[in-house]
Amino acid sequence: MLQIDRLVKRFGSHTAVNGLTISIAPGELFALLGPNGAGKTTTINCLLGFIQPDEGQAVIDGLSVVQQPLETKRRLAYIPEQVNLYGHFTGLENLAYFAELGGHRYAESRLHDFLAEAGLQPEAHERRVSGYSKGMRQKVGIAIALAKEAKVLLLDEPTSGLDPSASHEFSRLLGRLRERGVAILMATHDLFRAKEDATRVGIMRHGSLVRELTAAEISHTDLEKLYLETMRD
Amino acid sequence: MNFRFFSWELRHLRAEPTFVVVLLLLVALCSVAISNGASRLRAQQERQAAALAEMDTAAAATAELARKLDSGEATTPSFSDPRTAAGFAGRRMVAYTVKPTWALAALSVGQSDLYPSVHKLALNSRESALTAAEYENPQRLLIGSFDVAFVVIYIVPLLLLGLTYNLVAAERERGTLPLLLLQRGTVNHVAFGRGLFLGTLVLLALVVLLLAGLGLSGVLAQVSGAALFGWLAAAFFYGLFWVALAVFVASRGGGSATNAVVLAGAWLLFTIIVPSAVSVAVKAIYPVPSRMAYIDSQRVVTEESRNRQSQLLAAYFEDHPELASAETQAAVAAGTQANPRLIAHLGYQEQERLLAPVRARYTEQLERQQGLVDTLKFLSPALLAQSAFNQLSGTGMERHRDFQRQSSAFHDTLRDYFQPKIIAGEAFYDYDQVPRFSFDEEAAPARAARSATALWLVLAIATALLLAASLPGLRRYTPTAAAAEGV
Repeated sequence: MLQIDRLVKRFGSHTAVNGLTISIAPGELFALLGPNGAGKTTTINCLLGFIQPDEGQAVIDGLSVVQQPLETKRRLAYIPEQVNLYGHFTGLENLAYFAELGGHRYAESRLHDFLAEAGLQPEAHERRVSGYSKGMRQKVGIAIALAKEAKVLLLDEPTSGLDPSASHEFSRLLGRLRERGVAILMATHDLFRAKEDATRVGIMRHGSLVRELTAAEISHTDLEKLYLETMRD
Repeated sequence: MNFRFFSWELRHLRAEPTFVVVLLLLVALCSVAISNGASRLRAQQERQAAALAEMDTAAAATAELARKLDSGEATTPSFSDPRTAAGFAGRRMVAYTVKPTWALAALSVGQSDLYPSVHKLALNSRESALTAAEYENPQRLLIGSFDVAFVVIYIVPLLLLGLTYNLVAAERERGTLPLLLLQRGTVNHVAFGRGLFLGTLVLLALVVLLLAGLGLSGVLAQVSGAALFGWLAAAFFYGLFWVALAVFVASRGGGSATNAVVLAGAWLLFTIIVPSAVSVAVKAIYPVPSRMAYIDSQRVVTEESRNRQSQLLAAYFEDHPELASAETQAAVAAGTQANPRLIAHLGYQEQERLLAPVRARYTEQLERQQGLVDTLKFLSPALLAQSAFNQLSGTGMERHRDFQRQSSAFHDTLRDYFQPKIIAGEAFYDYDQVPRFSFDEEAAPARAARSATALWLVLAIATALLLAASLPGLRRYTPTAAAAEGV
């Protein structure tokens, strides 16, 4: 579903992503670990089409991110560390707005279903987003991804700043998306969530993927120890 | 871009107090401007109607006086006896030239506050046909009139820029741009869609307000449909130019504050600095002789022609020996007074001959100034718009010059009609046959159409170029500052 092949992105003399190759199948969750500046967010920005890679290619559902940016964006959903929405709209209105911009028009009851499925309490659906917590905004972000029927979900530090129960609930939602066949790439510092949720884990350093673990390896590995060893090497 | 997109944009706007403030400002400013314009239009139309009525009344009163003089019911000194051509033309005749004010002058006062639309003519002086002035509050003349053209040229761009300066930057600063881009695809949709939506909304509101204002003030019924369409279309294109400029500035990727400063600078440049520079340049390159110099020349010429009365009379009789009696020839030879009407006529002719080059210099410089302005106006959309608005409203300088030329020509017609009768000392009763002035509008509407077309074309091309120039920048636009820096 998502193939990244020898992707390179440079900013002047600095190489942010250096020959990265990753492949993620439908229903897989690939957790991308790495320190700040490792190239995780730059990789995601390349996949989103926000910046152009210098070399290599990225393919989503058989379509090139560089050559068919509009088509690939239709298949993508994205939840950043901080989901920013329109504060003057309610959660329901934000969902309806972004769904319509993406070409999907749903009945109001269906929109409520998406929000409920994302875990947002019904009484919050028609409250202005300006009064939402970070977790509630994340849930609207998930609802937008659900409404978009995206095939690939890109997450950039999605659980950063969430309390443990919100973080747990978020993991549960990711599980549901995986069951629907959504391929998920999650850039995170949260080793615990990576170990809990990911089907594969990759560790990036200086723009390259230096370690990759399968689901079976993750369960038998002390991820924190491995991460720290990798950073020391 | 579709209807649903616009309906969502409307919902965004409802949450923005700025838009409501802009609309309220627009309503208030247009109301004041239309009210000002309509009252000025009414005042001018009343003045013109009064002038025409005065001519009719005076003719009727003169005919009645002539009847009474004939029947011995009244007496009058011989110099003001309306039954002689000299008495009527010199003392009784009331002659006006009138430039009818177009109804659209209610939208654009133009030069009409400086140059009157009614000239009262005197047979022995051309000056009233050329330099007549109306009483006007000097303070108002100094600061200019607050009319709809002022609102459209200076204030509407500010309102449009106030709404569109952060078309994309606001989304980036709010953090909603990444999500928006993922749904819409490109920044083009956001910038073009929102910019054109906001621009169209404000400009349509302006058009509706103007139509409503003209309707309520009773001006709409007098307005030519084509001219009104031209005026509103010119205003619409002018507004779109500013929106295109905002889209272009947005495409450069600056933040809201940077965009606001750049656009405010552009407004200052195009509406204040360039027009002022053009005005200064035009006056410096083609200076017009001062009015004082003209009055001095007039005095010198009058004195000179008075001193040369005998010479002029002798030359005249040389050309027209059949008109000279032995007594007249003796009087001329002796330097004593001959036919005073003839002397006045000859003096006038001599003054005209001597003043012609002074007037020509003044007119030529004004025409050169106008020619330069016509070329330089393309440097500023504000100048271009002002010129088109004035011409479409009939308040431009060129139409006034047409009026002055025609008034001056009509003065000649009057003199040609009366002078032979005056010199010959003829009786005069043909009060209904005195030539009347009718302003020939042939050139003005065609000029207005040309000016409006030039404005549309130039602004449409400038708008298209700005939008096209925005595309590369918008394609490169990064939704977050961090993405651009690789953080």
